[in-house]
Amino acid sequence: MTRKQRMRVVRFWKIVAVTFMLILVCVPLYWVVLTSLKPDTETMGGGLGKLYTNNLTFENYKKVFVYNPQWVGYLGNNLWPAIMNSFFISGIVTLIAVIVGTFAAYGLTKFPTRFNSTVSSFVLFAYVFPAFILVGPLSMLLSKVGIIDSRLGVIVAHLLIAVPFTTWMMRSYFVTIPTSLVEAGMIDGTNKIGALFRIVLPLTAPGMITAAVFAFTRSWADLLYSLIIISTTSKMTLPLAITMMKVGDVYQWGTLMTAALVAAAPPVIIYAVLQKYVVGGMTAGAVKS
Amino acid sequence: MELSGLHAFLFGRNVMARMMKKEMSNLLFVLPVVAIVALILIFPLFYGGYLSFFKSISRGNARDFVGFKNYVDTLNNEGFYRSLIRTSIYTASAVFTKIVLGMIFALSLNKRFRGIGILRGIAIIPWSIPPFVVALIWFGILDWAGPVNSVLQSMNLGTIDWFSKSTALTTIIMINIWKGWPFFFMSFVSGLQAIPDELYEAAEIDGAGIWRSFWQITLPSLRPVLLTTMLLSTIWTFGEFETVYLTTAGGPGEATRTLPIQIFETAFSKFQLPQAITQSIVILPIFLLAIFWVVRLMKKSEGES
Repeated sequence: MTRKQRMRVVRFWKIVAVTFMLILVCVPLYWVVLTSLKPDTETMGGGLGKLYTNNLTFENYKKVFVYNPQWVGYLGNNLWPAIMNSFFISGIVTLIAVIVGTFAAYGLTKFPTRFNSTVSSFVLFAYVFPAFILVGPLSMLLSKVGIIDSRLGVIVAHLLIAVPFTTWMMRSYFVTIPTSLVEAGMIDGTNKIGALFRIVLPLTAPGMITAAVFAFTRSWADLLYSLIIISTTSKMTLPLAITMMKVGDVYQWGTLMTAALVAAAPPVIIYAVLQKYVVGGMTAGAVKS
Repeated sequence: MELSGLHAFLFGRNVMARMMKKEMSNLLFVLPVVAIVALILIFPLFYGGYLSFFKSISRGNARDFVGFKNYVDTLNNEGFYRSLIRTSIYTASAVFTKIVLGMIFALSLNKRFRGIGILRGIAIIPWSIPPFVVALIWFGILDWAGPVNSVLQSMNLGTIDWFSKSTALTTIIMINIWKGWPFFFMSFVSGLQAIPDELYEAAEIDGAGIWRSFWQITLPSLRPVLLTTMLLSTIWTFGEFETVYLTTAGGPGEATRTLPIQIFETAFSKFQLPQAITQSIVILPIFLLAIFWVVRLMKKSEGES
């Protein structure tokens, strides 16, 4: 084979692979969107698997956002309370995680102490640590402190998902800022905090946005912690409320898939818009070379 | 630190006190994160260790000290070992396939061309969807009346029960793969960009084909990235809870009861909290080894601090 022929073969297989990838990702998503737009008569009447419909309807969205008689008495009228709870919890978690992470990353990269390396390891350890090992003792402790079955309890647990990650991520942005820049600022009379706000943060704004995005979506996506902490309907997060919809043997596929889409929308949209930053950020530490 | 120690020795305690004070003020920056991790992760772990020596919890208090009985029970529990083996199979096959898929797609979308941004954007969608949503989506797709079975039926291939005793484990592995491969994809894409084109050109002049270039240039260059992402994915796949909980919840029978599910059920369905905690403590050493390893790798690739 000549070079040209070889390149053509490679190109052919690359196109095959990309096509396969597109089908793998897009067909399931197409089906979910379609199911959310089908009437119950179809999804519950043997038409769940059909890849087309002649009866497009928004009735599922109406049920999720306005009123669903089937949920009254156990989930409430609609999903708004759960959506608001999730926004509230993830918002607070993001705020704390970005502030704490920024200060920690600043200290770790610009002000050496003999403990910095240990603290870095400590933070990474917490980032990697799998949640399921922790849920038993944590639920017990939260109930001892009296914040089990409260949004505060979920916020506390979510800090563990968000704070170590934002710290590590901000750190990888902060190392790129020369220490001499900070020192120069401090000679000019501003203190450490002033240098952070006036010199470092303006240069690391994309890092901060990325960290905020990750903190928010990690908290938003969590089911395990809310599952062990929340039991009152009015305090449920969105993932938990949706999980509660999957009871019994007959599923309301229309509303279930619509709710799933609603829960997936914020992270998917945010990542799509900020893709450039996210890819760099996600691999922070893992890939930086 | 040697130098400052010498200074302190030569110029007395005053200097040392000042250095300490300066260090203390620097440490204030990291104090919040250290406090959060200590209070929400480390302290609960030790508290869990304490609880594991009791028979039960009632009204928020540990009751009846039983020494190492829970540990003996766990180590004699065949179900625990079956779970451990099942989770290992699940983890190994899922992680391996995710690496292969991530690699194939990363190599296919490596060169810059028009529309690459959109294709890469589509590629990361499965990873950006919350895990519990992924589980629900696939639970619907693989339902007996779902689209996959409809297509099979229309081709006269009959239907498959994707969540039966013999198929369920494979099914949850596939779901995990669908969600997880973009993690490797993204890491490999940024790793590939760091490989200089000259290397490939030189190899081609030497007469190396596509395969030889891959094994001798691409793979060795990606080695650090591969090792780190593989370890991270192994830890997280092993601990994956949502996909199993929302599809099979460990069933049918115990066909998909992975360790996270087993521990969750013991704690929150059977209300045997100390026993559940004991099970997590028994497997903790394996995790700690993997975590310490990956933490070292990640710090090394960040150039230390």
